[in-house]
Parts: sequence; structure tokens; C-alpha cells
Amino acid sequence: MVHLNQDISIWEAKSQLAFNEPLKPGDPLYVKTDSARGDFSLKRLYRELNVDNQGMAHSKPAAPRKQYTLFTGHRGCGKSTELLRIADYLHSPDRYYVIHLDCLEKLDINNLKYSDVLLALAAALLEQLEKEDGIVIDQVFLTRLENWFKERVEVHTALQDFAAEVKAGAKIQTGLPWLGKLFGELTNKINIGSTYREELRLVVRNNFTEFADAFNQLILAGEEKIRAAGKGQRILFTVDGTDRLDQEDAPKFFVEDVHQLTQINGLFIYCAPIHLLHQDNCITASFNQPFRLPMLKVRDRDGEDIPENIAVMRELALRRVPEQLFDEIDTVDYLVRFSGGHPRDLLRLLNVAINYADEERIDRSAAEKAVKQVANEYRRFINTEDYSRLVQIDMHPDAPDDFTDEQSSLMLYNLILLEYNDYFWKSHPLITTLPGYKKAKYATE
Amino acid sequence: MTTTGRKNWQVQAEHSGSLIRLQNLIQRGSGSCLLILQQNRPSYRDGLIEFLGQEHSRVLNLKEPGGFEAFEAELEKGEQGRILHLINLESLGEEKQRAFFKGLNYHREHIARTCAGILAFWLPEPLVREMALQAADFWAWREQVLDFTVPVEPVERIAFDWLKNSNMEVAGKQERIREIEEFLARPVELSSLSTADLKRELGNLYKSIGEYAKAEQIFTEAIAEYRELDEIEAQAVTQRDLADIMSAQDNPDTALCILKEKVLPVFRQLHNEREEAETKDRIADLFQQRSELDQALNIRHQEILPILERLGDVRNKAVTMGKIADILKARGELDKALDIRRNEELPVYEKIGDVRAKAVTMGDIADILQARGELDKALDIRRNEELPVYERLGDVRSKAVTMGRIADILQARGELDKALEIRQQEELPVYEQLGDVREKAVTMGKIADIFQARGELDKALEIYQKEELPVYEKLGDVFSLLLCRTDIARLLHEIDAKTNKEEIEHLLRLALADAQRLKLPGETEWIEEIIKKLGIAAKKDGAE
Repeated sequence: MVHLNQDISIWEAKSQLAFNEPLKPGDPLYVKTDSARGDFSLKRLYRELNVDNQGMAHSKPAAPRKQYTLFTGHRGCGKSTELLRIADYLHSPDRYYVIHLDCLEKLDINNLKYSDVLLALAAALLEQLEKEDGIVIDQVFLTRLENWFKERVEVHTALQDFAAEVKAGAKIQTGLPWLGKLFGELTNKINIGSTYREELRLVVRNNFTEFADAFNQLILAGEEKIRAAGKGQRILFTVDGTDRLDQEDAPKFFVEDVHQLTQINGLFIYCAPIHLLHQDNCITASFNQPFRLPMLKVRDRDGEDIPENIAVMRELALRRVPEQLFDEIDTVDYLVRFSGGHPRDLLRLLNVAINYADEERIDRSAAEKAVKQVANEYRRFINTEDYSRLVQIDMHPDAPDDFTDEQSSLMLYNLILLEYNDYFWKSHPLITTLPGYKKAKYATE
Repeated sequence: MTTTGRKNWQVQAEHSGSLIRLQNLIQRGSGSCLLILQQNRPSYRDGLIEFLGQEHSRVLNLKEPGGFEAFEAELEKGEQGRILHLINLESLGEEKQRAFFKGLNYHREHIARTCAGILAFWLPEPLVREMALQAADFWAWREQVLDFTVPVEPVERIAFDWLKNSNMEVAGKQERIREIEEFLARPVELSSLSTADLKRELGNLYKSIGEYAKAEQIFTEAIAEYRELDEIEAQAVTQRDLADIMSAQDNPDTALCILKEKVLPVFRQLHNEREEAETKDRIADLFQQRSELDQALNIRHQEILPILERLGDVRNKAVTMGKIADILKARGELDKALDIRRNEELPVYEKIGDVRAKAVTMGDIADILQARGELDKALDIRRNEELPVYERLGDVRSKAVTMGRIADILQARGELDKALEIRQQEELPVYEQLGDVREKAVTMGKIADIFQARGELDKALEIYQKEELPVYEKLGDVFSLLLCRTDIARLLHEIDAKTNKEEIEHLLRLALADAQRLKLPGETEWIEEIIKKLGIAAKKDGAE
């Protein structure tokens, strides 16, 4: 395997271990991990979108007019990276015209509302149609959105200044460019620190049906123009960042406001927090069967290594930290095993191992210290009684349903417990190094 | 002691590893990074922040902005530099803390974009847990959690002073060795600070009885254990012990390498100037051992003295001046050396009331007088200024050493019987009791010298061969070994040059090879002269 950056120093390698940006499609650091995630394939997701194995979107039977899919997985398992890859793959003339929205970048997800997301999606669609692809939408399909602004936003006393700001300098106040600017500004104003945020939300909430109808009309007309321009078969919205919502906010967004979300007739993939699936059984009433991105399966249910999957994770490590920066390849595998197949934890272990490396190489001793250190960090939110539960689960990996309750879902949420495809749970390998776990295991045996 | 400008502040030994890693991250890392620094004592935390340096750093007291939004507004000013220390989150009320954590969690990306450097949250333990639970996504982006918690009742680590053990009798040392080894033989699952400290003690005990191989092995184990425990400072101190062993085995190059590469950088990073000066002192000793006197002198003048002056350490400054005098003496500049002893060293020890140091300095003055041939004056100092002090202090070793020096003078004056009596009755039994095999061997060598001077050549030879040479061989003391071999060769020549020809040649060539290897120009020249004088055909490098 050819690796990049062969000659970099250990500190340069460290700068490549940042995990604050998902990898863009085509990034040289990206490693295809599908094969290592167990019995997992994106095919099911694609089939639900009527994309066949050859990558063609079939118009007959057509994809449903509206469909809402939840894309979920453990924190740091690579959801954002995979979602970007999915969006990149599906954005094709034979398939979809994808509008990708990263809420964390465009919006303030503190107290995020459906209105924020839908306005931002409308803005992203308008901008992409006009600026990137030069697609012209007939005015007749835009008038309702323009009117919604005039009749509902402009007249609202608290928003008059805002409306004046937006209109200032705009010679032509009609058509796609104008609407693009308008919704772009609306999205900005709903973002962090804006004084207009709550008022705008109030306007959308009070006049939502009108907005939804106007948006639906735009989507429909847009899809026709997109097909005509050979840019895709349908519009697909992919929304990242909504998985960040906590146990208080996520149900409000995905459950309480689901009626508003589903009034928009289109195809949507939303990133959702994993705890939502355990928290609320009603979720499948409005959304398709959630699509879960599993951990990389570096071990089987008996805890035995799966060499070919370890190799995938090893590759993931070596793309960032070249082989010559390790004393031996076994050290990489050692860290891979203790990551439990969790990509971000592998990056963290590598990062900490570099901090502990005495020389300019990661040796076994530095790796062992990294394992000890990160395990100790996990220890902070494990309760004593969790250990015996974890031991029990590890002894009966095939029967996670027997242990499904609030305690287990919290452990899954906190990554103490990892979920693998083929559906089995196992304690994070780092946890098994802790004295509390060892003691509980000894007591059980 | 590692200090900042704060009064009575010092880095806890157990934090030395974390602190060095933190410094590396600040100095060598790049980009944005989140650090969680666990602390439980604000004054200690503030000392650490000060220690890490003011340049390119900023401290934001979260009590002042008062909430998450104000904190974000502060961040957006973009004045944080390489590291932004965030303190006193614990001062906010519970509700504000909750909102703060939620804000961190939701605005993780925004914060990372706004803060290009290190964001260092100093939190007490309960808040670290709350952050992990309430801001799980923010927590997931942490680089590392470093623990700077101070014990509730701070326990001062015992600084072992091995000099105090040097007067322990050999039986006591053996007993202590047995006790420690018995304890260490018990199966233990994890490394602990107490066992690591015990190993260091054991290593020093072995060193004191000349069991260098064992000492080396134990020190190596202790170093690994300190490393495991992240006790980087203790690790460095023990590396220095190991360097002493290397030096004692005439391996100054390895010792120098350890001191320069493993020890000095640690104390520099920890701003521990006292230990830095101590380490440089050892380095200067090693240069001295390698006869690189200018280098040694330079280190003492240019590097050690300024540190000691800065620290206001008058005592160690006087000790260093004494070592400078040693070098001057070795270079033959006896008057200059004497001037330092009398005017720079002695007054300090008198002023601080250090009677032992004063006695040692008087001994050094006697050495110079002895070298100048003023034997009576030297003898007078030994008998009246040195000896009574050691007797009063109960310092049997120093007393024995001084008696040895008196015997040297007597021997030089030709009073061989008196000298022999002192060696046999005053010196030897003490070294035997202390288990100091090296000094015992040296003394045996001097006894042999007396026998040789009295014409009892066979007796002298037997002592050299049976009592002295094997000890140096065992200790790996190459320097003493080469001197002893040369002495034996000369004696064999005196006994029967013809019969012993082969052995004489063999011994002298070995001695010459070692002198050349150790880069000792004086000794090399001396042995070469003997070889020439005895008519031995020269061989290149002196090797066989």
C-alpha cells in the first residue's frame, strides 16, 4: 500500500490526526471502510432511494414523493464523512441532485428548530440552482415564496429593519437571484447571536403552511428543470449536524416537530443521534427504518480478531501516521485493537501515543500509556454497577435485547458499550483494561 | 525545586511528566486543540499557568464574562494566542454551568473555528465528569485529559541523601539490601512510586558497596518504573545515578551522553535550575575525568556559577569555586587554587557554620601544600584542623580518608613503619566495615607500595595481584586497573626482568591501550616512557 507523507515528522503527523472536520470525498486520508463494518452496505440505503446496484436511479417504480431517512451511528464512528461520501456518490445526472446542509456550519443548533433547517435548505437549494448550475426557474414557481416574505416577514413590526437591510442595494427584487439572497440572509439572521432569530422563527411557525406550500412548489419545479438540464433525477436533501441534538432537544426536533418537517415533500436524509433510537419507539412512524453506521468490526462476538478488518483500520492509521514513525507494525495493530473499531478513538489513541513518545517514534510503551490514559478518561463516567452489566453483556454478546434499557442505552451513547453489525454489543476494549471491569469479571467467574 | 515567581510554589513531582507533555504540545503542536486539565487547587493551577509562560498565552476567568455567550464573545475577539487558559467555570452557578456545557456541545465547530490554538479548560474533577456527560460531543474532541490534582495533604517526597548512608556499616547495608530485596520479591501487579523509590535506594546501596553491575540493573528497573508512573523528574534523577555508575566504571562517554540527552533536558523543561546546576556539575566532573580541563572549567565558570548566583545559593557557589580550584590544581596552578580555597571557599563555610565543609576545605589546602612539598604544614592541618572535626562528627569514613592522607605524608617523608601502621590499623578496618571494596583495594595498593619501598617485593606483588587487581577488574574500574597493571609490571621488572619479560610486556600493553582508549594523555605518555625505558618493542595502539 502506498502511503502519503512518508517523510513527515511525528509532529506533522499529529496535525493530520485532527478530527474536527469530516473528510471530503477524494481526501487522500480517506479509507473505504464499508467492508470492515460487518454485514453492512450502503446498498440498502441506495435501494430505498431506488438506486440500483449499477448506480442508476429508476423512475419506475419511482422513489416516493416524500421520504425521510435517519442516518445514525455512534459518536465519532465516521457518520459525517460517510454522509459526505453518500452525497457525493448520489449527486449525479443518473441519480440525484443533492443539496447538502451542515447545520453545524450554517446554523446555531443550540435550541435548533425545524424552521431554521427548512429556511436553510431553501436557501441552499436556491443558491445551488442559481450560482452553481445556472438553472432558471420560471417566476411563476417563485412568486409564492416571494409573497410569503412580503406578506409575512416584511410586515412584521420587529422585522421591518431586517427587511429594509436585505432590500437595501438590491435593484431587482424578484427572481431566483433575489430569492437566493433573501433566503441566504434569512439563514444568516437565524444563526448565532442574531437579534432577529426568535422573531423570524415565530413568523415561520405562525405561517408555516404557506411557507411549506411555496417551498414544495419550488422543489417540484426545480426537479423538472434539473431533469431537463441533465443534472439529476430528483432533489435529495442531506442534513448533517442534527445528530448533535441532546436528549432534551432531539425529541423536540425529530418527534414533536415531525409534522412540520414532513410537510415538505421531498427526499431527506437526516443525521440523528443514536440515543434517539433507544429513547423513542415512535420514531419509525414518520421516518424510514433508521440507517445505522456500525463500528468497524475488528473483533467478532467472541472477541477474536478479524484480521482483514484490522487491516482496514491499520490503513486508516497509516494514512495519517506513516509506518516509519512506529517502532513496528504490531504497535499500530495494538492501538487498532484497543480502538474497538471506533475511528475517532483510534485517532485519539494515536494522538496521545505521540504525546507519550519519547523519541520521534511511537513505540509499544507509548502506545500502552495511551491506552491507559484514554481508558482512564472513559472511567470518569462509568458507575460501579456498570461494570458487572458490561461483563454480563460481554458473556452474552448475542442477546443484547435482554439488556436493552436506559442504562445500556446510556452506555452506548457514552461509547462504553459498542454496537457492531450482525447485531452484537461488546464493551469498549479500553474499558476491559480498567480495574473495575477486571474485578467484576473475576467476581462473575 | 521547580519554581516560578510565586512564593513557596513548586511543581509536584508526580506532575512532571504531564507538564513536559503540555509544554511540548504548546511548543511543537499546531492548530486548534482542546485540553482538559484537572485541578483542585487554584493557587497551584495559577502557578502552573505562570510556569507555562505568559508569552502567547491568555487567561480567561469565566467567572467574569459570566456565561457561555459572553465567553463566545470573548473568543471572537481572537486575542487568545497559542493557548487560552479557561479558569473558574466552577464559580458559575449550576444552571449557568449546564447552559455553558450545552453551548460548548452545540457550538463545538464554531469554537474550533474561532480558537486557532489550544483551549485549556482547568476544571475540578466533578466538572470534568459533568463535561463528559453534558457536553459529550465537545468532550469527544478533547486531545487529552491531564491530571494536575494536588493531594489534599501534600506529602513531601523524601529526597534521599545517599551521602548520609555512606557511613553505614557494610552489615547495615547488607541487611537493608536483604530487606528491600525480600520486599521486592513479592508479586506485585502494578508499578508503584514506593517500590520505584525502594529500587533507587537499593541501587545506591549496591553502588556504595561497589556492586556496580547490580546497581546498574536496579537503576534501570527503577527508571522504567518511574517512566511507567510518569514520574519524569524522579526518572531523570535516577538516570543521573546511572550516569554515576557509568562514570565509576570509567565509561565517561556513556555517562555524558545520559546526562546531556536524558537528564538535562528534563530539568531545563521543568525550570528546575538547582537540579540543572547539579547535573552540569556532574558533566563538568566527567570532562575533568576525561582530562578535558578547559571544558570543565568553562562549564563551572560560565554555566554553573551564574545559576547558583541567581538562586542565591552561597554554599554551592563555594563548592563550585572549590571544584574550580581542583581544576587549577590539576593544571599546576597551585597558587591560584590556594587563593580560591582560602578566600572564596573557607570564609563561606565559616560564615554559615558548616564545620564539615570547612574541614574538607582545610584538607584541600593541605593537599596543595603537600603538592608544593610543604609537608609539615600539611601534616599540621590534617592533624589539627581536619581530624578533630571528623572525630567530633563521628564521620568514620572521612576520618579514615584523612588518616590515609597523613600516612601519605609519612610515607613521602620515609616514615614507612608509621605509615604502614596507619594503613593497616586506621584505614583498612574502616573500609572493611563500610564494605567499600574500592577504597580497601586502594589502601591495599598503598600498603603494597610500602612493602615495595622496604624491599619486600614478593609481599608487595602478592597484594597487587590478589588484593588490588581483581577488585578493579570486578568493578570495571579501568583507570585504577591501568595504574595497577603498570605498578605490577614495574615490580615484576624489579624482581626478575628476564623471567617476567612476557608478562611485563603484556601488562604494559594492556595499560597503554586503556590509557589511550580513555584519552588520558598524561598516563599514556607515562606508560610509553616506561615501555621505552624497559626496552619493550612498541606495538601500534599498544594492543596485543
